Amino acid sequence: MVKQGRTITMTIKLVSISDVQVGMELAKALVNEKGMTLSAEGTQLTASLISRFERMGIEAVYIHSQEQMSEEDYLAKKLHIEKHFSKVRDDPFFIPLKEVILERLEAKR
Amino acid sequence: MAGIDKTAFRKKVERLSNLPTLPGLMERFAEMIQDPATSMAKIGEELGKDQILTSKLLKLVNSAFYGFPGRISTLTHALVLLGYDAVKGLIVTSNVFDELNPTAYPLWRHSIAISRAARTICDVLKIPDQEEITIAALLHDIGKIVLHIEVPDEYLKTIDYAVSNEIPMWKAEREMLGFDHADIGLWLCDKWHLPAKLSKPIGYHHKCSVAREFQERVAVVAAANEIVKALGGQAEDGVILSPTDPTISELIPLTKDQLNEIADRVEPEMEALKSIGPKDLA
Repeated sequence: MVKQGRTITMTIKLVSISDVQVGMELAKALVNEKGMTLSAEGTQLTASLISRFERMGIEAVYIHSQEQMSEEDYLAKKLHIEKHFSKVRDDPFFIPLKEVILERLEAKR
Repeated sequence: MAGIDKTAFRKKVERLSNLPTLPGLMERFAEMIQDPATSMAKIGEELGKDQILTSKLLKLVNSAFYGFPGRISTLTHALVLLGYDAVKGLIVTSNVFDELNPTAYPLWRHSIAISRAARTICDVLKIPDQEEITIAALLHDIGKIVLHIEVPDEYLKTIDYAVSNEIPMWKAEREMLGFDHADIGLWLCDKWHLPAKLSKPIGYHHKCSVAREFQERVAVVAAANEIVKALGGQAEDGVILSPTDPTISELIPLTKDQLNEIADRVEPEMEALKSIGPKDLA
C-alpha cells in the first residue's frame, strides 16, 4: 500500500557470499551438481550456514531483498527511461521492451 | 579528429602483446582438432599442461556468474560437455577480460549480462546450442576490449563522442577511428582460428541482416545486447539506445511475457555484478 510516496517491494537479488548477512532469506533453493537440494527456498541464513557455503566454494546466492523506492527515485528513473529510449520510439524491437521496463518500474513503486 | 591507420592498427591487433600465450595455444588447439586420431582425452591432457590456463578456464566454467551447468572438473570434461568450439571461445574469454582496466569494467559486466540474456532467449524460444551462443555472447564485444587496451585515450574520446552526439558506439568508432569494434572482433577471430559460429555473432551483432551464416545466433546475441542495454547495462555509461536491424525482431520475436522472464533472470545478476570486477572471479 502506498504511504506518503514510499512503498516496499520484494525483489530477488544475487548476492556474493562475502556480502550475505545472517537473517537473509534464500530466494531460490541451493542445489548441488547432483541435483540434491542443500538448502530450501525460504531458508534463513545463519552464520554457520554461510561459512558452510563458503567452504563448499559457493560464490553467490539468490536472496529476497526489500527495496524502498521514493517518489523522487521513481520519477528520476522514469525520466531516465524516456531519455534512454528517445531515439527508438518507433523501433519494433524496443516498443514492447519499453512497455515491459515501464511496467516493471511501476510494480516497484 | 583524424582516424587511425587501419592497416597499421590491424597489424597491432594481430600482435597483441598483452595476450602472449593465446595465438600459439590456439594454433596448437586447431591442429589437434583437425587430426581425427587425437582423442578428446588427449587434447584435454595436452591443454591441461598449461596450469594457468587450466585453472582460469575451470574457474570460469564453474563460476555461478557465468551460469554453466554443474561442476566441471577437468579440461577433458569441459570438452566432452561443451564441445571444441565452446572451449576455444572459453580459452579466449578466460584470457581477455583479465587485462581490462577498471574504467572498462562496465564492459565486462555488460558481456556477462548479455551471455545470461542470450541463454535465457535460447531457453524461452527453444533455440539449440545454448553453450556456444552463451560464449559468443560473452565475446561479442571483444573488439572493444582491444580498443580499451591498445588505444585507451582515443577510445575514451570515442565514448564521449557517442554520448554527446547520441549515436551508437559502432557509428562513433567508424567516424573517429575508421573501423568499428565488430571489425576488430573479426580480425581476432581470423587470427585465433575461431569458428564461424563464434565469429559471426562477434562480427555481425550490429548488422544482423548481412550475416550470411548462423544468422539466428547472430540475432540472439544482438537481441540480448539490446535487451541488456535497455535494462541499463550498457558497456559505456551514457550511450542511449539506437534503432536496431529489423532482422532481429523477425528472427527473435519476443512477447512481453518472454521479455519479462528475461528481465527476471538478468536483472538480479546485473545488480550483483555492480560491485565486482573480472579479477574477483578470475
